[in-house]
Amino acid sequence: MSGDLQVRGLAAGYRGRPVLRALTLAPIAAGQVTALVGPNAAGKTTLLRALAGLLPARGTVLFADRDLLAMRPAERATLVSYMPQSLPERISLTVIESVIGAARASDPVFGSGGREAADRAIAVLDRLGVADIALTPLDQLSGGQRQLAALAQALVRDPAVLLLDEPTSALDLRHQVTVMRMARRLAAGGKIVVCVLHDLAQAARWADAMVVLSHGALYRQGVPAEIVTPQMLSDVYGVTARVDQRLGFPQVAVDDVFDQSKPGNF
Amino acid sequence: MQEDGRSTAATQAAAAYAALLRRRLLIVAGLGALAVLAFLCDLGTGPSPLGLGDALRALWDAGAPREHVTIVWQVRLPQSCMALLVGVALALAGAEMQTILNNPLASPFTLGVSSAAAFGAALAIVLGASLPGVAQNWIVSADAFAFAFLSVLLLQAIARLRGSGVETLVLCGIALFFTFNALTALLQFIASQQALQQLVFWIMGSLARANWDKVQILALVVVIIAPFSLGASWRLTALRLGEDRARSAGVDVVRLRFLALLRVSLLTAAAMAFVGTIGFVGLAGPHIARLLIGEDHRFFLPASALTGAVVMAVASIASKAILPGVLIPIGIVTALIGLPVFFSLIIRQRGRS
Repeated sequence: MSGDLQVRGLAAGYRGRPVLRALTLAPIAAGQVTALVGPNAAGKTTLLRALAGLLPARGTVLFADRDLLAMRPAERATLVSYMPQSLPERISLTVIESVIGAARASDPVFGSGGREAADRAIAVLDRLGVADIALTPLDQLSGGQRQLAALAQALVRDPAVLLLDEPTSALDLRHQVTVMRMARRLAAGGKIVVCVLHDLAQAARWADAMVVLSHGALYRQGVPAEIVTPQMLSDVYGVTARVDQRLGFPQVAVDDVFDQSKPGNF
Repeated sequence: MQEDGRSTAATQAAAAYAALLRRRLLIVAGLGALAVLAFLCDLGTGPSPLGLGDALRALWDAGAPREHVTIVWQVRLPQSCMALLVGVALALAGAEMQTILNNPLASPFTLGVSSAAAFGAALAIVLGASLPGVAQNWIVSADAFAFAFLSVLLLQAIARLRGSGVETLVLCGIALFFTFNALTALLQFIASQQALQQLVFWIMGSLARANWDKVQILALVVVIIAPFSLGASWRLTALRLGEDRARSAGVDVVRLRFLALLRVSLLTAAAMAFVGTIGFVGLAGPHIARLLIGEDHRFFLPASALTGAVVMAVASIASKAILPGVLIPIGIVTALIGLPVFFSLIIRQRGRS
């Protein structure tokens, strides 16, 4: 299944605290990595969770001509996978058990497919280069390993739409590249990949498209080279910065805080 | 990394996982064997000088002495069966509760279900209050059951309120615990000397109240509910990965929580109605099982249930053996014997990680 992800008039938030108000985006294309960026509290995670159907939301999110928001959870789970920022503490599961658990969450217990789920889980861990920690308990992993295990949990059902909330935040440089390459490879295979990325430089380096959120609304959407400009950095982040395009993607050097009255400054 | 065929690490992982599954199955089987062993020892222990051999002969052999047959069939066997069933019911309830509330301190005892049962029993014992149509000798059990069940329904109602998370639920459970304790204390205050004594004894928890009718009812409840608990294994395992991830994986978490609490309420209410408040098993059974076997709920739930059975059977033996000729209320024994074991396990685990 392929097609764009179309977000129209999406309103979502938490009880008594609306975050997104009637957000409409240009179609998010399959085959691309789309980075969701913006300052703290811009609504990035809220948007991602709303797309995943985890928040009460109004509006439509169309994928392959079907409204994801109107689907039953089990049906949506076959199309969309969401990776939260963190795993809960104190879980007594090994990495592979957690990945199989995510794969079989909506399976009947006494049904078949145990062997197949285990094979898929191992294949995903192998692709992420962490098959060697398959039998390690989750609470004995380093921060980076935990994040890769969490990514494997999101990938194992092979969804058409992948929603990743800061997939590289706890990773060292080498694993950041592994994960972003994986994201690009998945996109190249026809998937829709949307990542919240805190690091603008990383987003500019790896994403094909960028959605910049500010105060729960769309600031701009497009290719990184056009989006990442001194103007955007001052408007959205409130910093003065220079942008260098010589490497083929925008590189940002932040010089100063621009205006103390803007949000995002501490 | 290879595109086709597995890497060495993947092949090793597959073999290691297969070995892990075998080990987990073996542990569950071992716990089952231990439960049977503890059950037999329990059967062979009692105030009358009737060892395991005599007890077994009384079970199978028609030519066994008549008083042996009576002791075994009318006293020991129902009590031993009750011990196993109560252990299974409370530990299974505790395991599900800890998972759906994401809190290792959750148990039927800590969240007020036992207090509610005690209050129900107090109403029956002190005021003689009863549900309509309940026979006289079932009033205490019926009231205890009704209040234990109601307390979990109350928790359900709170859980259904929009936006209340699991922390709210746990806090409300603790509030229920104190509320029902206070209400029970009030009834104790106004109770007659005789009723007070009866009530205090009920609250301590005792297997001496077991009879075949009660064993059959509790067995029926366990046999009907346990398959549904096991049937939710994958969903419960996924829930351990966090609510968002479970929901994203297709689990209807609200429904899962509702049904799990329903199962918890039935298991707990049925167990406590017949033996009084027994605290430790519902908390420790799942903890010990988790240390032994992890949280793949296909293994964790049966392991919790069997651990609960072992703990209760051992406590039952101890309650008869500590002071020869005296049957110490089992609620006291589970706490006294269980706690040191529990602490040592936790401290050992902390030391390892």
